[in-house]
Amino acid sequence: MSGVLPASTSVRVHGLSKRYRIGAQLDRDESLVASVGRQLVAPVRNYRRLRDLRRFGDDGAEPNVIWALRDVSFELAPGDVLGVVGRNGAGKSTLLKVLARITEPTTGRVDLRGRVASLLEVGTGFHPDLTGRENVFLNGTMLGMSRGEVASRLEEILEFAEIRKFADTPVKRYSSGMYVRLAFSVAAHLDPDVLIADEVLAVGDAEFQRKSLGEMRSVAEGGRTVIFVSHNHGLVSSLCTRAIWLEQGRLMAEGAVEDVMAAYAASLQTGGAGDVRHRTDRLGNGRVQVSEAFVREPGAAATSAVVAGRPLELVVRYDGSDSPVGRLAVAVTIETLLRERIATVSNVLSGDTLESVPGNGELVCRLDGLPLNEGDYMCTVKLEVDGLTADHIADTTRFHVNPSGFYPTNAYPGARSGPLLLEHSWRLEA
Amino acid sequence: MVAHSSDAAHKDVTTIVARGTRSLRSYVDEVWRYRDLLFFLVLRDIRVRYSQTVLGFGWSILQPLLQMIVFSIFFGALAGISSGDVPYPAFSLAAVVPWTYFLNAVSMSSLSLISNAQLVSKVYFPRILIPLAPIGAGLVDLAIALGLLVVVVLAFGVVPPFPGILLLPVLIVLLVLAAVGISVWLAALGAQYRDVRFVTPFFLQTLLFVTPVIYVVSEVPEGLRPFYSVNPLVGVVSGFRAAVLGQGPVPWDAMATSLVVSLTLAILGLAYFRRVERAFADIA
Repeated sequence: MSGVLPASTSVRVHGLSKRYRIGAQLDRDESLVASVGRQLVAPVRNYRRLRDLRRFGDDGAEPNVIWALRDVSFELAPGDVLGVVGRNGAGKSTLLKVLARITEPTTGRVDLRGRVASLLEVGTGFHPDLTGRENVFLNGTMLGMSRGEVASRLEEILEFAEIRKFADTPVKRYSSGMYVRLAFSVAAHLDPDVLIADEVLAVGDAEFQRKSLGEMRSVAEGGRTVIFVSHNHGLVSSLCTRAIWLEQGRLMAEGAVEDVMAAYAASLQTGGAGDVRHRTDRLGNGRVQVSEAFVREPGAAATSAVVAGRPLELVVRYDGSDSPVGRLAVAVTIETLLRERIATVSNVLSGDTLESVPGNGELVCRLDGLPLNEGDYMCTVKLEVDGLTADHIADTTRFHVNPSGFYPTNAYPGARSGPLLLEHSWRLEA
Repeated sequence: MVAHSSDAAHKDVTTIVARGTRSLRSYVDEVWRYRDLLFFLVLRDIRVRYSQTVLGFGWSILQPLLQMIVFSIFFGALAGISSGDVPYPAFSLAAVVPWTYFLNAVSMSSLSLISNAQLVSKVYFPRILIPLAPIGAGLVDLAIALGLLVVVVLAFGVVPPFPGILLLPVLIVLLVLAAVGISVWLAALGAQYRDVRFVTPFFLQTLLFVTPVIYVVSEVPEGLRPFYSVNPLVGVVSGFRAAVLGQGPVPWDAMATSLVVSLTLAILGLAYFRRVERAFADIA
């Protein structure tokens, strides 16, 4: 392949794969003699194991080998802001690490035009004993600037981070907010042609996040290219122009951000609902566990389609003990399928105490008029017994909301107007 | 490709990420582009080394001074080891100063990739700068210790010979080169095999005994000298004695051996480092 990128392309990723060897299961011994014998040959085995971490056979079908990326290709033009989405372990971070040259690909190739800056973690390379000013130089040169370039932007960087007064204070005396502001500010003033960033916008207070976002946008509007991984799907939708969706290392979709996010959201809809007894991805001590969670209209059976504005019951069935368990607290968080939290309801908020509850039973929460817009939602359920988390399980229940019943007009604002429907009225005051 | 000038030059650079080692030319270019980072990494190591200590840079005087006192009591006075025509403390300090630099530089450099694992896994820059930084940072201590050496030597009534003293810069270059040659190996191996952490102290202790720090070179049998001089510190330490104390002739042959050995170690070490550095982020 030619090494020259056409002017319309700033990033070209071609056939990128990355293979990792995960630690093989360690041997177990049947006897003391076997164990001693194994200890004696341990150095040889350890040496092979350490050496083999970087070696692979020719067939890709070995055990203990995972493909964090598998044949990923895409291209970006100057001005594109690419969002990378996918579940945990889909390969997003590996992709960024390969693009940032931190780790090399197993196969494939990436061409990046111009200066590349990567921001995989805010404040990488900051040293607590150095002053803010010294850290700006250390971090700036680490990200690829020359000393002169850092010096010419120093004032701007300190100004943007709002820490000018503390420029000569060791950063270990900074508040965490000051620390991340300074770190982001250095990266934001790199003036890169390609910026690779991981979750870094989730730093600082709301005001600084707004500023950082603005800075990211202006990087893109200046004809640069931004590649951005985030679990905040709302942010991806609002910031990015394009997106790719990774699943187990493979590229599932690529294109305009709306299309990719829609496809990704649709994929999240498949999955369990209702009966969750088989689920093991839980937190908590297990004193009681959620066995089933669903929604229904009062007096009706469990359903997956509900109507806005009508009464709704959230039902949580739990079990775990034959005897009473003590004081129970239950919380249900309603989220979009993109994991944006909408609201949390709990008996603690409503003031309904649940003392000496039986070891198994059914908890029902009644909502008088469901204020949700059209869309798909899911629930996360948390149970506490005597103040300790007994069970915490995400994505227990999914339901679709038909919004047409909420307003007296039967009109509804459209799915893109936001997840909430608010009761309201208008008048003219002259 | 436009001529390399000003800030805009980088726009025409295409970075290629692919498996395999890049050309030596592009590697050297890149290390050169990041030279300012080396400066700030050195600065960081200097600032951090004595942060939150009571004595601060006093340690760069105390370390060799205490070592000199211990050696003078146990090897000079009690064991009665000959120091030739020079009082034992001055004799000893002339070797302890370069040795202390070497010891600290190699100890810190060999662990540097491990102690900077956080950097290695989060940001890209030429990895070789990491083990080089402590070697550069130690030069500040060395400069201070050299001042101490001059004071102590004069106090014992020895006047540094002229023009022999002018050899000092050459000897310091040899010393740094020896530290680089050995540290690059230890750092690269240490990132993959943590055994290096345990091997290094033992290795350095042995090296102390096969370097003429506590005894004079002339104690070593003539026939063994060529093999003995393979240790690159032999030329450096006996050179220091000749330059600062005027003890013995300038050991040109041992210094030449030192240069060749250190250069070979450094070049092979850098080649090895380049070969394995691609995997540092995956194993850190």
